[in-house]
Amino acid sequence: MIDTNSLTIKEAQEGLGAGLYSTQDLWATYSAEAKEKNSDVFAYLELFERENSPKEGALKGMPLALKDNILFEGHRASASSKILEGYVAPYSATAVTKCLDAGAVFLGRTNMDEFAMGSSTENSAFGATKNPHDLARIPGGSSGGSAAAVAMGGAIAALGSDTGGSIRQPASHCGLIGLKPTYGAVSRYGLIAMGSSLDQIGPIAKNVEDTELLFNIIKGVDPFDSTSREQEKFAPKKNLTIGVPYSFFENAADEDVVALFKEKMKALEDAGHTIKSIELPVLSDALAAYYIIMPAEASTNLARFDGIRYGLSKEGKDVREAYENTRKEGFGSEVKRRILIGTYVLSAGYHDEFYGAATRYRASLTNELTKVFADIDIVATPTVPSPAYTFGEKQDPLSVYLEDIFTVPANLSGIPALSVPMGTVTRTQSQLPVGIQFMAGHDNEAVLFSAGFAVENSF
Amino acid sequence: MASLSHVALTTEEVEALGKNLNQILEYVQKVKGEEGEVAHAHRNVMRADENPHEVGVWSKRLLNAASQTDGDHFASQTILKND
Repeated sequence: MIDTNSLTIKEAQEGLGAGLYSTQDLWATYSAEAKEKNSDVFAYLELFERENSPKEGALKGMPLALKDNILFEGHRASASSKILEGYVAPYSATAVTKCLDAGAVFLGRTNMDEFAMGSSTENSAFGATKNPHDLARIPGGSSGGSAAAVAMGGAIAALGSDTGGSIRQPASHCGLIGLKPTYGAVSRYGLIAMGSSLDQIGPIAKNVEDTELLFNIIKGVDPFDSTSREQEKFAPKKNLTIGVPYSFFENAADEDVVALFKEKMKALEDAGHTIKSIELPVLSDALAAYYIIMPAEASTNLARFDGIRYGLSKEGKDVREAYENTRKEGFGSEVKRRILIGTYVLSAGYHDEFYGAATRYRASLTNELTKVFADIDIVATPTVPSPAYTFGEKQDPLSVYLEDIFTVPANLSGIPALSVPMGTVTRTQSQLPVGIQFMAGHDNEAVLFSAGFAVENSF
Repeated sequence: MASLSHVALTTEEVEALGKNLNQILEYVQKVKGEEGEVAHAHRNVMRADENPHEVGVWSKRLLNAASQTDGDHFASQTILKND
C-alpha cells in the first residue's frame, strides 16, 4: 500500500487524511525498508528507534533522514569522523526543531564525507555509501547518505548541508531535487561548521513541491544564528527568462550531459520560457577561489577539535602533543589536507596572495551575478559535469574537487540554487540520473521553484 | 605546515599530502593577482543580552561530552606553567 520509492509528502498527507494508513504505519514501513536496503547501500550510520507520537503540523508523521552533521538532541552526531567518537548532541539544530514542531519524525542519521569534505562519501570514516541506481557508483557527497536514503526508498525526504554543492551534487547523482537556500535563509544553529561563510542547511526530496514545503518549514530568522535574516519576498513566475553560460560548461561537462541539457532548454523554450545565451567569464575562477576560502574557514572551524571538550582524546607528553595526537588519530586524510591548505593560505606571507585574492574575486563574482539577475530570472547549467563515477575511479583530490565546478559559485555569492533531474545518461549499461542546476538572485527561491516545476512538467 | 596546523602526520601522510598539496596550490593560484575592492556588505548583528538561561542548566550535558572533568570544569594537561 505504501510505495516508499515513489511516495511524496503530499501523497502521504493525502493517504493519512483518507485513513489509508496511520503515522505509525508510515514509520514502520519506511523503517523496515531503510533497514533492509541499508545493508547494501549504507545510507544510514544509525537508524533510530521510534520516539514520541508526531506533533500536529504540515509534516505530521513524515519520516525524514538527517545528515550526521546536524544535531538532534540526545542522539549521536559524528559528522562521519572518528574525532567525534561517542559524542551525543546536547541540543537540537533549529532546522531539526522546526521539522519536529511541524510533526516530522527522524528515521536516522545519514552517512557523509567526513566533516562534509568530499563529493562521494568515500571520505567517511565509516565506509562509503553506494548509489541506489548502481551500487558500483558513488551517490555523490557530501550529503550522499541523505540522498541515497531517499533514493533507496528509506526516507520520504531528507535534510543535508551544502557548502560547495553538497546537497545539489548528490541530488543530481541520485535523481532527486536538492536546494541550497540563500545564505542566511536557514539557521545553521546546530550544524557542525565547515565553511561558515558558505554553509547552508537544505532539503533533498523527490519533487519540487516537497522541496518547497520543507524549505518553508526550516527557513526563518533565528536569534541563535546571527547570519540568519528575514528574506525579501518574491512571487513565482510563469514565464521565465533563463540565461545559459554555455562557454562556462560546454567543454567541462560530458558531451551527453550537455546534449541532455540542451534538450531540456529546448523543451522549456517550447513551453514558453525565454532562453538566452549569456557570457559569464567571471565563473571560470570560482573553483580556485572556493578551494582557498573553504579550507581557510574549515581549518579555523576545526581548531575546536582538541580532545578536551568532546570526542576522541589521545594522550601526549604535554597539552600540545595531546592535541596533535588526537587530531592525528581522529581526522582522515582529506580533512588533514584541507586543514593544511587552509593554514597555508592564511599564513603570514601568503595571506594576501591567496586568501586576499580569493576574497576580492568573491566580491567581483557577487557583483557580476547581481548585475546578471537584473536582466534575467535564472542562470542554468548542468549540476555536475558527469554522472556518478565508480568507486576508486578518481584518485587525485583535484579531479574530485572538479565535481564542484558548477555548484560553488552559488555558495561563494550566497545565492540560492536548485538541482532538478533532467534525465539519464548511459554508462556501462546503467542509466544514471543527471541534474540541471538553476541559480537565482538572493532570496528568490520562488523563481527557482517555478523553474523546477517547469522542468517537471516538461517530462 | 603540519606543525602550524597542530596535526601530527605519519611519514607516509607527509609524502602523499605534500605531493597533492603542491598540485592543489598550483591550481588555486589562478586567482592570484585578483584586484579590486572587497565589498563590505556584511554587518554586525548583536544579540540582546537578555533572558539568560539559569546558571548551570547546560553544564552537566556539556561536561558529559568531555574525556576528563574536574568538578564543574573541563580538565586538561597544564597549558601555562607558573615558572
